[in-house]
Amino acid sequence: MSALLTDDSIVDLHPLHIGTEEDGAVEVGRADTGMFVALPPEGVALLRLLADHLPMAEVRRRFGDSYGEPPDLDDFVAGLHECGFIRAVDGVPWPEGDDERGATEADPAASPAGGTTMRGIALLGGLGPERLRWLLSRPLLLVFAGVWLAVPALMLADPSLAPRPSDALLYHRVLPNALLVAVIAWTLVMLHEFAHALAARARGCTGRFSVGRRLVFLVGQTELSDVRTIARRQRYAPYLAGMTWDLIVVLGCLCCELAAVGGQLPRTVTYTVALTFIYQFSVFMRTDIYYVIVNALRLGDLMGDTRRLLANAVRGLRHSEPAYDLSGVPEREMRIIRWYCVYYLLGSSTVIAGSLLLSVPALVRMLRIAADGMASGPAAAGFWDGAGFVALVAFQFGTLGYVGFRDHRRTRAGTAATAV
Amino acid sequence: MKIQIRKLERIETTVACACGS
Repeated sequence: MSALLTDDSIVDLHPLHIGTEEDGAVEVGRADTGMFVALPPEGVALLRLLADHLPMAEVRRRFGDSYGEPPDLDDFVAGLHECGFIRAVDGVPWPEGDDERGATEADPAASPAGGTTMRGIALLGGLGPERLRWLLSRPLLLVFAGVWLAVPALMLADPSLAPRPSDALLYHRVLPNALLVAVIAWTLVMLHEFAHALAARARGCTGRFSVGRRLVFLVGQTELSDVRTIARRQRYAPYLAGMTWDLIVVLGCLCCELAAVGGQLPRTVTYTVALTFIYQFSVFMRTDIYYVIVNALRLGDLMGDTRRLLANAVRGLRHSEPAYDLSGVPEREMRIIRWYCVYYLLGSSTVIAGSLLLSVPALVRMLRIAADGMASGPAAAGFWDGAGFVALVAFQFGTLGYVGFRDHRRTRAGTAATAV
Repeated sequence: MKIQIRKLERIETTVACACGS
């Protein structure tokens, strides 16, 4: 691409958000594609010169006057192009960069523990933020904080309210029960993600819903990359909105139980939410709490840098050269990443081992029950119980397989499909 | 002067479907 650039070339950039400087770096990016980068202050100065529609030679001269040496401008422009930040050169539209929506090919940050690069379905995009701002007003934020405190306080005050595995049994027959729990679980997933989208919209951002994967888990996910356009302390509300909604549901269930309303259903819902909370605090995956921690510690790409560091370590064991240059990661972040590497390996191994030792045998047992039921013929209730359960398992694993294949294909292609 | 461009992580909040265990 640099061959197309001359001293007289004028670069036309897409509209870019430029944040405030933190730790010697500035977040810069496109809210419309969700691609953001960190630039040093001199990088921002160079970007602003390009944004002023100055010829390349003039950009070099002015930058050199300010910083004492000329910039490696061709390299910088090539980097901006790869991020999809350049709209046109000399009035001629440039094709989108390789990376404006996806992850780069062969980047370990893109694949091992799952991660969808397509942005998903925009939720509430047509709703003006001014109509939702009240949702995050100070009085309501205090109410939400009260909910976060009330649920554990109630369970501590009355331990019989705390969820137990037996709460998963809503119905006396095992297979129909699994179907009921699946319906409850997916309803809770959808409402959780909708809460993220509501809070994001109230902050003027847009959440995009899709189905993804984290390790062995099928997940609902809301892409919120454009929260990088708002102040760091304002990002917590969109990150925590899903869990806050979950706790409001649990508080309602606890009240129902105390009032002896709703039978077993409130306990089943509470237990289902409790399982998702264990997931949320398993921050060796990219969960809501993971993003809260990353935001608080001001980390640029904790998961990606961790995987790149581990990939380099594996190559080091084989006496090969490191595959990834991590010199751009600040030492402050590298200290955290080295600790996180250990936690990431232990956590991921535990989840995979737990799935193999607990979930798979249980699934096999239930499939045997289903097969026995189906052997009795369609006149028996057991046949339909079994058929329904097999259909549920096929749906769950079929979707998980599809998501894994889709993400793998996108990673291989280096680009993702157009945002919906 | 070479300017380092560091790509930042995409933000994808997630919740696992509790059914499946």
